[in-house]
Amino acid sequence: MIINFDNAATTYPKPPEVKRAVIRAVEQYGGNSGRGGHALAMRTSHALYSARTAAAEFFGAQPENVIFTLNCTHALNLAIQGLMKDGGHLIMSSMEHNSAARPGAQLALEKKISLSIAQVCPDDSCTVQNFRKLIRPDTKAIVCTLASNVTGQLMPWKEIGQLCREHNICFIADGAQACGIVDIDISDGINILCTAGHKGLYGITGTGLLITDGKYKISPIIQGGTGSASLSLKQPDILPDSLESGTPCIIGAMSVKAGIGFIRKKGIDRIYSHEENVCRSFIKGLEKNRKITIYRDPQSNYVPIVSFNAAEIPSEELAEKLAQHGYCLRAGFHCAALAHTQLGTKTGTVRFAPSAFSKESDGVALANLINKISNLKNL
Amino acid sequence: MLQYLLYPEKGGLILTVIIMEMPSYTFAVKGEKLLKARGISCDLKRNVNASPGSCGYSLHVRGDAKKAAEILKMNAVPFIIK
Repeated sequence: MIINFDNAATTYPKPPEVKRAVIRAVEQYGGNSGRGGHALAMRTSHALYSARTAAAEFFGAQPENVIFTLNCTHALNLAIQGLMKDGGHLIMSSMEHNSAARPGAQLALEKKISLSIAQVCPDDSCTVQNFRKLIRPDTKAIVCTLASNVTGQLMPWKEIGQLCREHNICFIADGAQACGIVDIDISDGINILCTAGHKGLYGITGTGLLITDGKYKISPIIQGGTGSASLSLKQPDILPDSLESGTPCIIGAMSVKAGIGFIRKKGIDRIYSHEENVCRSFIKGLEKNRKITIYRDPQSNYVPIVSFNAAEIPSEELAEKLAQHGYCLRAGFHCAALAHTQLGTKTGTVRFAPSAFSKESDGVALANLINKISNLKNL
Repeated sequence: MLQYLLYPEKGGLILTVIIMEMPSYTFAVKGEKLLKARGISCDLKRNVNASPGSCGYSLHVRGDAKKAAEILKMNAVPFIIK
């Protein structure tokens, strides 16, 4: 028996239409996109364009500004390294995942850029103020997650976008935990949106997206074959080719298209409500237990993620006990050094993350099991 | 590449097809969809003699080439008329 509450890592199960899209792509889209004029290449190219268009329409972008990547980490590296190539000042939030924090930190360690960390507060206006205070004349970009992958805290991203607009700063948003759950249109102040295809968008693993409004030039960090200007040794300037060297994951792109179709059909608000209800039932089941710490603040808004700890039980030990009963939850530090430092967790947290397929009753049963385990522990 | 057909009854040569070379496959499909949506007949084809700077695909536009070019320019779709 597997009951998956580790959907913040990657969603499972996938919708039936995603499975069908993958099979169809394997069977029919076996050519290489944008490379060749024969029937197989042409129908594969058209299929990839349709996936690009689906993502563009979903996030309010132009199709050529949608870049298929391997995952959100890949997209964030393209954005951060590509934008900060010539130096400057970068600000990131204190809740960033390592996918954003490490490329920024690496550039700073190599003394190619200067880096500042803006403290995230439970109160949104305090968070925005902390970003504002750090802006300098040479600030080139702000990187901020739309929702923390540890606690699920929603960031005031529209206000941060506005702040960036006021100061002519590029806003790079990490949408890994928000896309597919929160309605996001890049015209709401996001210049570059980086996200995973395999989480809230329900595509397969090995998929990600970089979506830009085209305002800021992103220098490619990988060069290679694009199917265009083949006789030139210079990487093409034009998007998506400049950032999409090599054969893209066509099967993955088709799975993301089908995942977006699933979200549209089900309704993004309904998905959010359902998952948040599962979270509320889970929290309600734990709230009378004084040994449980839940990392949610009444002042903040959250995507459907609940991070918690049970008294002195190390997070990995608790997750292991839950796994013995078939529950899949991720424990530890969730690749988020900055966030766990801010939270002050000693052994990390256990993270509960439902999906559109999760059952409220499973969340309640899990809470009961956690209560039982924490009460058995001799403290 | 411009292709002409002779229509003596109309007094001479009439332009029938104009070939627009595209810089990327993505822009080629985008251009094709934009033109078709505005009633301009066109086909996306692989070029046999592609210019070095192109992606190897082109739009074969039949009809009002000037209007087609305007639509593409208005939508920031780059192209080269061969």
